[in-house]
Amino acid sequence: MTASLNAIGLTRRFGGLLAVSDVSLTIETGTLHAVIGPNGAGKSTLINLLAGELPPSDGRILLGETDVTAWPEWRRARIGIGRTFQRTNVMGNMTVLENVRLAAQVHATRLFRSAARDTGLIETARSALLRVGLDDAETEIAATLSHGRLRLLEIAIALAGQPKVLLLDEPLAGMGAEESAPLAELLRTLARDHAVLLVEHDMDVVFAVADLMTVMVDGRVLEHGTPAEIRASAAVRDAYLGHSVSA
Amino acid sequence: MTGFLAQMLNGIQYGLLLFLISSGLTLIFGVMGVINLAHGSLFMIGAYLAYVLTAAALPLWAALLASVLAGALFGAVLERLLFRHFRKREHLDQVLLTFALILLFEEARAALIDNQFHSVPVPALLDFSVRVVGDFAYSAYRLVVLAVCLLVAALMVLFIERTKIGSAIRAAAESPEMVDLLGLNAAWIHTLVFAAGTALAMLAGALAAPLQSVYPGMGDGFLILSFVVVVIGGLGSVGGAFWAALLVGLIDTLGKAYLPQLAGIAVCGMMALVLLWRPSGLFART
Amino acid sequence: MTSAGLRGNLLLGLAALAVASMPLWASAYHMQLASTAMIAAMFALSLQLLVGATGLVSLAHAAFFGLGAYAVHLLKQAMGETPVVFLSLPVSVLAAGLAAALIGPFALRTRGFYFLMTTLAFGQMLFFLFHDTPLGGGTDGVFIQRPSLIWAVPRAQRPTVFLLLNLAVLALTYAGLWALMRTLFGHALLGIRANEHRMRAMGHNVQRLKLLAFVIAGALAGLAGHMAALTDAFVSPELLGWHRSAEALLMILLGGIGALHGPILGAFALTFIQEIGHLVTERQKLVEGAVILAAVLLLRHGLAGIRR
Repeated sequence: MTASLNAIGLTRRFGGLLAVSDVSLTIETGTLHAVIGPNGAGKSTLINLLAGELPPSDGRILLGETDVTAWPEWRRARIGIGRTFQRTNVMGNMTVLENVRLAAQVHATRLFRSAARDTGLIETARSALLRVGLDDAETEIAATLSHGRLRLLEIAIALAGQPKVLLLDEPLAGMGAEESAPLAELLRTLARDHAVLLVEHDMDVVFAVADLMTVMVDGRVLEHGTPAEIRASAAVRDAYLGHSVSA
Repeated sequence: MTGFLAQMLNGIQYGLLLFLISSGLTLIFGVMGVINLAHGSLFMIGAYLAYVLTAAALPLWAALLASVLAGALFGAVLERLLFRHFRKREHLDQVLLTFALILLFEEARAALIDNQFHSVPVPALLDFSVRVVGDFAYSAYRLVVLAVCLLVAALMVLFIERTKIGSAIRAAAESPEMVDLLGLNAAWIHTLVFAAGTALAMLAGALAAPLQSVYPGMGDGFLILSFVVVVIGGLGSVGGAFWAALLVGLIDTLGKAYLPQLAGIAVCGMMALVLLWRPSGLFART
Repeated sequence: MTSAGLRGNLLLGLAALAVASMPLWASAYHMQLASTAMIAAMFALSLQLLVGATGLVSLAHAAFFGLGAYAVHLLKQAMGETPVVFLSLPVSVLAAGLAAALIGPFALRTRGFYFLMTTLAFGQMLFFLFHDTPLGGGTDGVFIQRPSLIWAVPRAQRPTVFLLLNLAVLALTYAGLWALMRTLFGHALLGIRANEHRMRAMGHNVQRLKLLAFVIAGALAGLAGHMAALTDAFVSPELLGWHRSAEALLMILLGGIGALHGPILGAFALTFIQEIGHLVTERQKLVEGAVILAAVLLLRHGLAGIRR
């Protein structure tokens, strides 16, 4: 059985505002599911709800058979819901390897073991760095990395936690064309062994890498479908794509 | 029964004094993001000021007025010279800065006045008891303190709710960036809030002087209780501070009257319960 | 937070040797002073686990120190006879650790200013417990009987014996914390200080890690308190008051918030400054207040950061 993340009728209110309204979607291992929509459509809120940073006002979240709706963020991360942040969010004063190792040690059973002697952790951390192509930057202080490489570190941190589901919040934000091509390729390979939810504004990349898409407008799901179906949808073109193309 | 009534009134009056102190504290936290552990020392300075002025044969009302004016001036100077530069500093630095101020204020008081216990007489005009109901009589001065505190609280609420500067302060207490958006000079608002907070703490000290002895560490107990008030009332909330101050004042006074050994613990125990139930304060809007 | 490297630890070792040689060249008074500084150093070191490592500024810490000291007195009263140090020491550590385990879950529900205020209030609650009730022997404190050591120590030897004992306990405390900061737990604490939000998103149970740090730090403060009671044979409610916590914070700031060994430097520096101040003026608090002002205004990285 493949692990999947299920959102059922997910709703989040801020005061009187409905940031996310009755959103249901399923993300399966082996697929890259992109969520697109204009600014303020509720995409980041959706990720925060799935990751557990925000409690939903209504609805349920299942990982496989397990209902995790009431679980705190850290517990969800532990059973396999990994995430990245829209704004880079790392331990800036630590080295790249230390950042990733902290993520890997979440699963360590012996808290009072010498960190230097735990070679298994370091291997997990290194393989995460290798996968995103940061293996040459191990000893660099995170805050000194270029923006593009910080975005990669974000992903490496999420990978080091050995997640089943990856929630990626605009991993390409602020990247140049040169950097985004290899990252798009990485996203494809990540989808082979993970269930990936991708929130992204770069439509070229999204249509190139996504297996399935969900279009959100004003907190609601406007359309579900394959990239081809979304491209053909009149409703999507009216509500969203039309504007961004003409703009 | 009359004993209990008296304790209730004492509790309310004590709570109102606490409100004068903690409303400044909560606004300074909220608007400036600065923790001021020396706030209790300002209360002590107000009480000593009242002692010195009344000992020099000035009437108490003049001492009250002087404590407000001196407090406003002193607060403005402190804010411009020190606190302004500590807004963005770590909590550790703020704690130590204000701890240093406590030590320096204590030394200044010892050098300028002394380290002795003093009493400030209740003004002759108010030195009588008023029959409230039946046989129950209550000190006229305490009733006046009650009235003054309520008046100040009402003025403050009016100022904060009804004026442009007041709404800017309220907005700033919720999110500091708001001040600039409202087109008011943020630096000026900080000085105003700090000066007002200092004036209120010193006024509370001067008001309390005839009710208790005036002594070096008298601000300590008020500081701790004010912190409890701010925690229960919610950071930056004047309305929350008002109700929380009354609650804490009543519990502390009734506790001291009926369970003297447990009063200090009762108040903190209540805070623990509030933290369990609502970590951001009983009266916080969430 | 950085830990001293090989060279730094060698220097600390040399300083320890110098202290250990004091019986050969120093007066009893100065040995007592060194003991005072070392107890302060243990206390400030225990607080550094919260401040420097985890980023938690607690004002309740002195309460655990005082509890550790009072435990010696209360144990004697409960037993009816003077306890041996092998019993009183673990009792002090456990009592302080237990109090931290009780207060921690409440205080750690809050963050930032709220944490400062709640730890202040909880610390003062314990202060009031000893100040307002007859439990600990009253407002002004009590002279206590020292726990018995293995052999009977003649009065003239006390400064030497306590000096060496305190040095040993300080060295063990430092070594223990140094090793602790090298474990996965220590790394996790540094992660919380650097970015609590990300730690939670990674899957760390931040609340549990903080509570563990709070309890370990509290227990170590209890150890320091025990050594204070043993050395001074006197306990008073003042030991629990928040002014003591602030003083330990000052030692941390003086020594350097970013270094594990900073509090040791800070404790010795403050003891030295206080002693000089004592010779020059009657106004102790004036000296201390001026030192703090200078430290917060000028010394951003503490004494440990001066070399950089």
